[in-house]
Amino acid sequence: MFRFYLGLAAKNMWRRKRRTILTAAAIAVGIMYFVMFDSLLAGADRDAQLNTIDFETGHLWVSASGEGDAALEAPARPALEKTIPSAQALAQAIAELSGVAGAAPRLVFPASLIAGLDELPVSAVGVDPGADPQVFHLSQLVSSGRWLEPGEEGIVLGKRIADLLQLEPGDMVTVRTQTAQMAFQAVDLLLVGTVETPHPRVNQSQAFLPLDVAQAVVGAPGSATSIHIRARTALQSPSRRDLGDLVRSIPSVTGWNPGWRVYTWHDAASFRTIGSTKRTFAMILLGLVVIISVIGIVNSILLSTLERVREIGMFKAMGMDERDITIVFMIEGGGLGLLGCALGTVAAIAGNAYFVNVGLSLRAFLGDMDLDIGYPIADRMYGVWNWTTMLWATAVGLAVALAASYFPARRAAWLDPAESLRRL
Amino acid sequence: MPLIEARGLSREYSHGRMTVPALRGVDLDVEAGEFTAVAGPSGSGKTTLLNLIGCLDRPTRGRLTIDGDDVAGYTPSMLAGLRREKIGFVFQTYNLVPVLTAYENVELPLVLLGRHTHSEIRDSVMSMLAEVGLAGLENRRPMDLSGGQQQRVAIARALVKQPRLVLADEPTANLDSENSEAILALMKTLNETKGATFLFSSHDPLVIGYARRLVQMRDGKIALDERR
Repeated sequence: MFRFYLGLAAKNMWRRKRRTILTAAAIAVGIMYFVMFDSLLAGADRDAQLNTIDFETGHLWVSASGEGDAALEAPARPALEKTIPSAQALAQAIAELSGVAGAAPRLVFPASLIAGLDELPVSAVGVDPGADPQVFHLSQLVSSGRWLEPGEEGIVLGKRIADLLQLEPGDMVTVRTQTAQMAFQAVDLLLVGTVETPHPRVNQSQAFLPLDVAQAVVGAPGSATSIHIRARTALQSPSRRDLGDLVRSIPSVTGWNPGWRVYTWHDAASFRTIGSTKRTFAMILLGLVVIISVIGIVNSILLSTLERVREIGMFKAMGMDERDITIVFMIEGGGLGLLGCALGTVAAIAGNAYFVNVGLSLRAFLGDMDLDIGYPIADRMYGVWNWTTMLWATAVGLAVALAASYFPARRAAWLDPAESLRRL
Repeated sequence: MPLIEARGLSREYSHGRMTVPALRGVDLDVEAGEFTAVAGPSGSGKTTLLNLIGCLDRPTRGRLTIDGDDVAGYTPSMLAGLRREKIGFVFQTYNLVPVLTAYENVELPLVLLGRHTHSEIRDSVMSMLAEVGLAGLENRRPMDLSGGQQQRVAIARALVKQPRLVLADEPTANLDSENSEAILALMKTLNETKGATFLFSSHDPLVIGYARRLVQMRDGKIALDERR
């Protein structure tokens, strides 16, 4: 009997081709948008994680400030009372722990770059030129000139800063800051190179100088605001659990201060923002898919029942009961949902293939401007293949179609047969 | 025991505060195998009587027994079961499912009974279509058939499950006289060969002339009941 109902539903769907196609197309578009946006957001999530790890935090970091990622940002003035003393020795000790691929101290402080008449506020980052590349990928992304060498009075700028100040390697630049004692301090440094990374904040606001030079400028010899650690793991974005052993073993190194804390990259503010943004976007889009499906299916099945009142009366005269008639119309609704989901999935796969392989250029939307939209992604967002999402979208589309067709189907099922047969 | 036993059957319809009586205390017995016409002018209660006997509607008052079962306490689902098992319907406007072929339309009652194999259904449907003179037209959709052919499909659909009772509401009203006569002849033949009880409504003298029993309705009551 169910097979007969299936055939009947399929024929009835085809009976109103245009309406069927329009309803299915609306569902398909909803599902396609949901899958593609989810793909882009998941891709952005993945790239943001990598950019956060490779250019901002490493897998883990140690901070004396006790305020997590606040240690990564240049404070209004150097919080030198909360720095890590003898930072290079501590970094060395951490680097020797099992499971650690590298550890590098950083001293982050606010500064102004002065080039001729131009002045630009930046986040100055004192780095150990030898140890930093063991944790971060900056040295691999030098766009002009070269990376820093230990002990030199040189500076490497984010490309955007260099462009704004019209500086090239070989130019001199003045770094002005305040010491912990509020005294102004300035130093002239040779621009040795520029870096262009996928992380917009690095390109737009960071200036890198040798750690010893930075320590001298702010009057904090041997200190760092944070120590960054890269774990020895094949995973690009290890979970908190993967990093749990290291988090527990780092405080065992000699010279550890109980007031310091170990953070994982998950604690970075940029990553947390992305997570919640992604969830909000996904929920909004899923909500839209549900609304589109409900309106489309209810409209289609309701019209179908109104057009077929006499047919429903005849079915009841033949001996179909309320359950049978509900099933007939729900199969139709489910069929519409299935068709929409199938079309949507095919369209989503085609669209997503473009996002995965070519990506979506943010510059195409926002123009060649300072791109900091809260994501640690500089230009191109790439999609990912997420088959679970596609299955979920299809399942939700289908479930919504069945649920949406239930009420008009029940309405049809309870029509009075004698009254239905009288209808013209 | 009569196949249909109606006692004091009444049906009233409410229109706002007004109550309109469509049937006023009808008593009627129909024996198995009868070929009965219910005649009368429009509004005399023919269709209401057929709807009540067909369990498509419930009486306001009175008692109805079909094949020995008093249907008063039946739930909608039990009434659907009774219609499925024992009653075949033929409608004035054929009421075929337009997306189904002649074969599929006739197949429907057997599918709903759910106790026949695929080959049994096929044999019954093909044989029924042949009996109503539609052999070779089983794959045509209703829109590809004439009015007379569509009503033949409807008759085949009503009879394929070999019901105890066939109710036909104005079965020839949409047909020309030639087709009307052919349909009536077919119904009579099937009544004689299959033993199915036919109860049909009409106000057409040609149709009434075919009946072996005439029940004349007027103002919701039986004005005349004569066997010929």
